[in-house]
Amino acid sequence: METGKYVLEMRHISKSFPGVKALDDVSLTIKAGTVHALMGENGAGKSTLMKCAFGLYQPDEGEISIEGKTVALPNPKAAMVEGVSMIHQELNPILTRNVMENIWVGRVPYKKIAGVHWADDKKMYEDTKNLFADLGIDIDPKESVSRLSVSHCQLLEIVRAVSYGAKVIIMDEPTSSLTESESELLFAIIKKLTAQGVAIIYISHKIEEVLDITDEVTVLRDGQLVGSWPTRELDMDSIVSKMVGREMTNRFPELTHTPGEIFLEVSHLTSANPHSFVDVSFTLRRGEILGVGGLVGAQRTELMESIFGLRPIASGTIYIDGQEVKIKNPRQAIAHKIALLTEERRATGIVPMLSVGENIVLANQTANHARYTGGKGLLNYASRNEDAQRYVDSLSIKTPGLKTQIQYLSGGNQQKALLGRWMLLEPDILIMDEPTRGIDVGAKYEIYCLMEEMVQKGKCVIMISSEMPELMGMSDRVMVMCEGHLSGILTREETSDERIMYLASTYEKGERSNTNANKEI
Amino acid sequence: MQIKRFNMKEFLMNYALYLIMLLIVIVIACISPKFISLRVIRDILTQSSTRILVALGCMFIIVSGSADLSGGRVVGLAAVVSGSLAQQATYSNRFWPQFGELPVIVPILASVLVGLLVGVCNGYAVAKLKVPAFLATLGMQMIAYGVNCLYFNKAPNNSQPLGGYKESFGNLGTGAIAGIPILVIIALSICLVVWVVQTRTCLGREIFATGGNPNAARVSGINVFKILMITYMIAGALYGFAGCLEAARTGSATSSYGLSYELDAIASCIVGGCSAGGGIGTVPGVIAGVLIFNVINYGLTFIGLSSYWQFVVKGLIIIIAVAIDVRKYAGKN
Amino acid sequence: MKKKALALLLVVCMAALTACSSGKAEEPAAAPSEEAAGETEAPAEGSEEPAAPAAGEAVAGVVWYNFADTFISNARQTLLNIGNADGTITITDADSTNDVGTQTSNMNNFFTQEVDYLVLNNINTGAISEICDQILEEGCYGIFANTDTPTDDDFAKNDKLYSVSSVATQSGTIMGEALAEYWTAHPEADRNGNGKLDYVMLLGIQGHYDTTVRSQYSVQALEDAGIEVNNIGGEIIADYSRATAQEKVAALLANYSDDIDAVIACNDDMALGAIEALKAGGFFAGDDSYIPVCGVDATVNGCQAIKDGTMLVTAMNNPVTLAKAIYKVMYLTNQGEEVTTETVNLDGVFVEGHRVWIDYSPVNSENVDEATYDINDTAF
Repeated sequence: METGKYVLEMRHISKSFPGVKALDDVSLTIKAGTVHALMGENGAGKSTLMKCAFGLYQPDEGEISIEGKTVALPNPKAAMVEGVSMIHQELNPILTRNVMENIWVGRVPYKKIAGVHWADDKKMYEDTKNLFADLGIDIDPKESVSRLSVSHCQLLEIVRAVSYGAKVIIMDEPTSSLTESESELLFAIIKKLTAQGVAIIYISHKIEEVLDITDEVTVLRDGQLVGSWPTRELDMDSIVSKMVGREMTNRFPELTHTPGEIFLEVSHLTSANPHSFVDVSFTLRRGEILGVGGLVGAQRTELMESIFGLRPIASGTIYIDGQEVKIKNPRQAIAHKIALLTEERRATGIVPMLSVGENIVLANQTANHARYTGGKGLLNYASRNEDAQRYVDSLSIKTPGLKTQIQYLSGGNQQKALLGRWMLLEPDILIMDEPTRGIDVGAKYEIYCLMEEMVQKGKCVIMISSEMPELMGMSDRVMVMCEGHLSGILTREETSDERIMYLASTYEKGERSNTNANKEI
Repeated sequence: MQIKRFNMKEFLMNYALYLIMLLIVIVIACISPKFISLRVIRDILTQSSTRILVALGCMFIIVSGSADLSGGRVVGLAAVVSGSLAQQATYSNRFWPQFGELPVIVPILASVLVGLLVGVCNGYAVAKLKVPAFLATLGMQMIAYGVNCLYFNKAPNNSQPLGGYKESFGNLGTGAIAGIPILVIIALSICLVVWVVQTRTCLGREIFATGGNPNAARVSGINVFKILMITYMIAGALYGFAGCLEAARTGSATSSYGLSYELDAIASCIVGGCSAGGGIGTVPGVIAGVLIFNVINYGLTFIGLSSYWQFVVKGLIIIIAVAIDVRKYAGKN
Repeated sequence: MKKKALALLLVVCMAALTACSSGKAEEPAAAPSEEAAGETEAPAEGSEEPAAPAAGEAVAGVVWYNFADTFISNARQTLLNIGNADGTITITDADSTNDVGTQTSNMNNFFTQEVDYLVLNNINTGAISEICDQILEEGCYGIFANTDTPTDDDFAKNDKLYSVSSVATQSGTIMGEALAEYWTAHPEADRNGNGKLDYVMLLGIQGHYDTTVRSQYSVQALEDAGIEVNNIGGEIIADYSRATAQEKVAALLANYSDDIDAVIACNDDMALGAIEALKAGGFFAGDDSYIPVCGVDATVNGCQAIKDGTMLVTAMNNPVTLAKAIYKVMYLTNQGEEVTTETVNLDGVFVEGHRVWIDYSPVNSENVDEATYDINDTAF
């Protein structure tokens, strides 16, 4: 145990990108054997700072030392040799190789037989086995990586870092795609690592987690250091206010709306894909926020995408305002004033190389081009920019300008721009799939306010979310799905962590009738 | 101070292509001062005209995130079709002896129609049948060439190079209005139209969105199938018209016309800043891309550099131009 | 595991295929006589005459370097016409699309089909001997058409080997001689007065046999006539293409407008492209703005240009004569007759051993009206 000794020191780091000062004189010191949280809103400079520590970026100013020795980190390889490893948000294992080959890639042990180097599978297997045993991980080193879950892939990365003799492991949002129990496993392993003297830099937006598992917290805001504190001196509100730079007492806006009459009715909807959802029925009222909960594989996304016409349905009907509608593609959904903010921001949301303005007007331009052409065929840029600017302002999207390519915005601002795209259509039904995933607290609050604003106007919102507090804090009712079946719909009063978790992991005939009973409310 | 240097670098990056072109012109002009003359400019513009049409067609395809290898052979097919319909009644070796002299609009329309037809087939294969664009258009390239050879070999022509065009048709390629070649006027007008379509119409913007992220475009209510069909049809029509002008410009046509024009066009587009991944491309960029190639072609012949060296220089410039261009986006990510 | 199994399966399939094809190749020993007998129905079955197949029908596989080439296309069409009209020899042909690899595949294809005659319009002049050896091995007749001829050694090894070709060098010489004559008769043709003939040379494809001899022998003829020459623009490769030639000459004209005295093009298409560029540059407008342009092939458009007074000369390589000569060689050998100048009996064709030569003839403003051929002429 070498707790107390500084293993990584970053002093007066500055880094600029074209037009942006990403880091301005930021210092960070990490003690061995501790978990150090690095917090801040999106675009605060957390990732940039860590990329400097991992050798992906070169700081313009400042120096980095490891165990008191000033080092140069021209590339990640050098960083790993010096003992700094990074577990990225998006993992890139070599899917066609097995577990141990992924861990030892580039350094496979070999033996020499008849002058030829042969991979020493046996030694590799033993070494891997030992590493796993040390950390209490139960994976077969010979398993194919393509068969592993996301959380196991992450563990693989951690083991790889350990195998390099890492002194500092940077974890970027490690729990963003893990279930609760998977997260618990990760925390247990973090404990073991710190007990061995390894320092963890933990980047996360989940404040509860940070309070639970970290020893120290450093907060960045707009590329500048706000400060570092021992975690025990902080609580949720103080962290939030340090991050956003103002006092924040509420994480959710006050909900004052009251649902009206039934607007959308989904009746016995079954997916054309036999492995997807089956016989789902629910209703949605005007001015209502319907939360949709469930675990990975509950087919929530598939259900919503089917309602939006992105996926085919085998049977069932959809009624809007009492009228049966047939929706075969997104165009028809949009014509029926349905909007879908998809889960995969990069894959199905942004058009990365187009400008922020272009991205905002994209859907409305196609659906109502007369608005921008004035019926004359040629686009009027003034009206497009006006619309886009309106949402940049009202959603406080942080961007250098409308012409900036959207790929250069932070994730939260991209999400807000996409929300603007759909708001511009003035939809009656807004379906949001994990709308706040990977978004900082301030932006989350703004998105919640926007939802409230919509339902105030008598529009409906459906929100798929895997975050319990969000489901409970924002929804009028929570619909819970499990493995393609609707397992229950809970009213605001009935909603609780345990109830949602219970429904998310089971579906039975009894619960189903309960569902129908609830539907009648 | 620091900021100023920074901008200079950015300026160099952003205008690298134009600066390279300027540099080439300066070097050639130093070797042979006669290069800076109206005549040279007129020649280069004339030679670029048909190439620009092909490159613009290609730009639509690349911006929409697709690929098209059929361009060159469609130019050849359209050249032969339009040429066969544009002959004088008195020409001895007429392709269609049974027809009289046709109005000049007939060969023009026929060439555009031929291009459109190929475009429809390409679009259908790519957007509906989901054949990878590279393969579908390679197939169409062969079909277009095969059909061209069959047509060209039809009795009584029997693969004789076409000739004896009526004056009005030949004028399209060789005539001038107030000293400006008609070809250049046509090419510029089409550039203008394409530029307007691309930047000032919903269709144009939807093509960008489709190329940039087809899934996002689909979710946003864009009819991706329709966009791809239209894109291929526009491209086909442009190839077809280019073929017609090529026939008019050279006063002849054979089935070997247009060979590998599509590769030149793709190279021009990429050099002109189009992203091979789709979603990025501008008309001025493509014009610059085409011009740079023709300046090199023309300039190096102009100073009497041997063809072998021309290939080397051309290849180097493609690589250098793209390498610099890529820097624009690198580093930010 | 799956992959390995698949790979294995593939190998097995390929092995099976190879076995089948080699089996086919061994068959011919028995098959051809059967076929010949069946189809010809000629001599009685018991007849033991060894010459029986000679009088019968035969199959010829013709490999042309490029169908898109005007000259080839004409020769090809004529040969097909003659074959159809006569019926003794069935002609099938293939296009090498100007690619050595394709040519090799086409040849092998015909060997596999067991053709009696392989007619090769060879691109790969570097591998003539190897090809001759292969033909010898296959045992069929080999006719090299309109290309570099095999060596004496090759002919000595195989008496079923022939070559039918125009005297390629003549095409260059015709251009050079016509230009020399014009130069001597028109002192004003030296436009910059430097006493040298400043010429632009438009090449077809680099290393192509015709391109090489045409450029070489045209300049040779000029020098032989005692004219000093100067090349402008170096080696200009215009791919036998009218459009490319037009562009290249336009660029040269912008710089050397006052210097260029003549254009020598290795085919008519390029010559016509040059004329188009010259017209745009203000030439051919009146009597004092003439520039001699020479071509080869005497295509319809080329002859038209000569009539129009733009092109000086074109060397006619008569595709109909070529086709007739090829067919005649096959016909004679099929009949078991000897191939000589007399038996071939075609205008402008003479025979040296197994080499059949066809003369090029100059086409100029005086004889252009007679310089026609008819690809539907099937008399041989």
